[in-house]
Amino acid sequence: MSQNQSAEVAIAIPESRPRLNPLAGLLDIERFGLIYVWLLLIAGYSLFVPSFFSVSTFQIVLGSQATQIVITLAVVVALLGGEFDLSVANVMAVAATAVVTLNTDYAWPIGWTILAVIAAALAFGALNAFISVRIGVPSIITTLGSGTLLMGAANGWAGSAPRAGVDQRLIDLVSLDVLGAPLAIYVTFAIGIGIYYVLEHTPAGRAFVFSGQNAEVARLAGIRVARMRSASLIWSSLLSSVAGILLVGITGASVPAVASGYLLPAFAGAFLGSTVIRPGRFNVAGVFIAIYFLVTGVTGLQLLGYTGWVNDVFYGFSLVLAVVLTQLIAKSRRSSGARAP
Amino acid sequence: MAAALEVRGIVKRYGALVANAGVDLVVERGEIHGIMGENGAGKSTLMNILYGVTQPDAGEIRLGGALVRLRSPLDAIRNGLGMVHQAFRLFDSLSVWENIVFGREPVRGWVVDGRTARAAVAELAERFSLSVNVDARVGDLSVGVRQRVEILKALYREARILILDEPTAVLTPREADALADVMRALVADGRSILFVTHKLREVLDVTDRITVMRHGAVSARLETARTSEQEVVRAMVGRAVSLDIQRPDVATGDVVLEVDHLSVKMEHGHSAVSDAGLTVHAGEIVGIAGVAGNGQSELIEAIAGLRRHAGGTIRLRGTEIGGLSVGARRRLGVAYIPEDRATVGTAGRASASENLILGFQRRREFQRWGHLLHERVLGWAQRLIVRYDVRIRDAQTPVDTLSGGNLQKVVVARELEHQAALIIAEQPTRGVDIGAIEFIHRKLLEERARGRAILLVSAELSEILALSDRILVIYEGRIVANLPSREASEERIGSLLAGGSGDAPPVEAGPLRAPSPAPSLSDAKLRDP
Ligand SMILES: Nc1ncnc2c1ncn2[C@@H]1O[C@H](COP(=O)(O)OP(=O)(O)O)[C@@H](O)[C@H]1O
Ligand SMILES: [Mg+2]
Repeated sequence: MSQNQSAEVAIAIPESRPRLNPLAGLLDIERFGLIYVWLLLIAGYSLFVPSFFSVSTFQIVLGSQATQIVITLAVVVALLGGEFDLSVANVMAVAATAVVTLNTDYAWPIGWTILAVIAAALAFGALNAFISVRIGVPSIITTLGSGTLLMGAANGWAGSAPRAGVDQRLIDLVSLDVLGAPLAIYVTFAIGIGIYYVLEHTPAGRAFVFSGQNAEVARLAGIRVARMRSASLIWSSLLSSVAGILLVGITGASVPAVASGYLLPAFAGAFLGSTVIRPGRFNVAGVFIAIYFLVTGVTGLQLLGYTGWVNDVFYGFSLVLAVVLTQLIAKSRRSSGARAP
Repeated sequence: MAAALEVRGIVKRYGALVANAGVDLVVERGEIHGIMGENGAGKSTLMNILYGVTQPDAGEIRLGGALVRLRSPLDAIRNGLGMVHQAFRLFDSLSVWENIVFGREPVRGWVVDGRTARAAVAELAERFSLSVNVDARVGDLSVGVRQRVEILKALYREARILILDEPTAVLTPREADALADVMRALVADGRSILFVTHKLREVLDVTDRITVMRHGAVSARLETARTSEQEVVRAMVGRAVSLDIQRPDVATGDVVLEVDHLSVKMEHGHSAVSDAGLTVHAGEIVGIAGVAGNGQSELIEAIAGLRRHAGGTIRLRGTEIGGLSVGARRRLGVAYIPEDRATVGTAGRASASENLILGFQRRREFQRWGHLLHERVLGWAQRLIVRYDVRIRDAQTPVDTLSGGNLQKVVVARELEHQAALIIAEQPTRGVDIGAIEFIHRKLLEERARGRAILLVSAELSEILALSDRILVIYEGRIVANLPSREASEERIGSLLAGGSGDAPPVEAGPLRAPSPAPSLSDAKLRDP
């Protein structure tokens, strides 16, 4: 069992099932279905869009998604803790604005700027936690309100226009070319593996995940459930601010208006990710697969000449599809688990 | 030396309802202390207070003489208390050892040390002869084994005082006996056990002392060795109760239910019921006896319309109903008291009056131009609450606050009020206290006297024998015997239940296991897609 728990990385070992031979394991449609759809999508685009199958496409697809993946991880951490965090994209955008503004207008050194932004994000997460967990306002409402408020306040402070001029060292570091991919992408993988590791293998992480799944059972087992719920909102804010810092490093600027474009793909990625690797559970490996799947879809459509509106259609469709799939998975589990001898 | 646990003047109110009205309780080290009381007497409330789940309005708790405040289960655990809840609280998707060590995992460095954890769990299980497969997934386990996991979970947290809230309600007799052995082993080890039950035989068999509760207060403190069944029952119910039922003769009428060659297949294709045939006449109670898991649930669900059948006919007063929806069957005259009162029988969040009117909303008297007349509905609900003696604050209280027996009375009240030609009663008294059992039995017999046809399923052989005019025995999905009740005896049916011929002495009801219950709905919420 303990080895099987590492199913997210060692993907050929099915969880709590008799071990099949590796080939049969890989053919497990329920767990790897999305990966096959993804491969089909790549094959399809390669056939119809001559320019699709190229190294540069892969670099774009791989490299451009660092911030989106971190934002999605933030959403997943909140969902695992049993909370909805709708403020992630705004926290990211405001963090980006704050980095640029503090670093240019206020001439803070970049290192202190980053630390200050992260600390502010932690405080913001703690505020969300206080309102949701202590006072008892559902987090979906709390974060909708607090995120909007934060964004508005930031625009009042720094203006809503795009701003550039951040310390070149941050840009150089984040986009440092390591084996053909920017450093940012390695950072996301490191963050993903770190989250996976803590959640799966440390007592605190397990307490966190299972409190989110069933708070009552966890409470009776002696877990401080309120603390876990708070942690989920604080961590999601922290991760969102990291995404914002990466965003500044990648683009060299802060663009407050982009925030809204990140929220829907994040939820689509989180739910779609919960249909793979460990169907029925939000999981880190699923996030990576889902986000790459989504961006492949969008990139292909753009190369086919569709732009703008197609993003919304595609992401919206994917979110609905993902939620439908998760419901179907839950249902099939229930009926196969029910009344079976 | 100070008592292991001493409770003084515990009070807990829910609005106007006083669940605990100044309860005193003393539990010594190394004793099995029985807590008896009718449904709704306040036993679970007291136990939840002791485990820090609920906070009392007044009163104090001492452990080994020291005053403690238990603000959360975590506080209780730290003070050496452990609790096995009436409904189990485990993660179905986790393995046995993961559930047991959850929240207290041994670590190597930062990481959960699975090997040490499993060894510790296996050692603990060995020590108290609680055999479990530490790697099994909890969702795949039978009820009895899940309970062992709960006990191990408490022991792993070093519980010195173990609270078992109606642990035997869900067990087969053999599992209950095994549990009794475990309890004895635990007190021999110097621990104390609070054993909540309303089964007389058990409490007299295993406890050292008994505290009886009634209407939220202690009505008697008894020493098991020096008390009697009658004394306990009187303290519980406030009067003498007898389950020896007089079954007056009733002339049976026409055939109401006629089932022929019925077969039911499970999702994965194996037969749950094969070629079953039965008839129930007006004014007759037909009992179905069987060890859990032999197809009786599926048979009943097929008749009630909850499950599709694969073949055969189901006729109600001559009309084929096999293809009809549940609603259509109810309109034609089928009432159903389901085994699972909490999820099938009632809507937990909804109030008692809403639950009592379920299925009656269309009645003329309750509506005007399509609007429900709330005053009338409430009045009607109030009358039923009184008539069926449901202990509830008022008709507007959600039923998920009710104890099992009271919830059962809500279901029974609603279904019997249907005036349906056929009443299907599935485990109508399971987990219900003795006073309520007597009451429900009396109601069923009244309905029989009114000429209703009643199909009764029960795991309690004594109940089947006491109520039925005819007894069918179901074994591995087949009806293997059809006896008039005067020809039936406990021995004869016992043998048939286990697949014997009915002549031989009873053989052990070997590997027939109840299927594990459906996973709880809470596992399927959005937070866990
Ligand atoms: N959370 C609650 N809200 C309102 N009433 C409750 C609640 N919990 C229990 N009760 C009521 O308190 C009484 C005692 O219940 P309980 O302790 O569960 O009884 P027992 O376990 O002895 O059957 C019952 O009448 C029940 O309806
Ligand atoms: Mg109770």
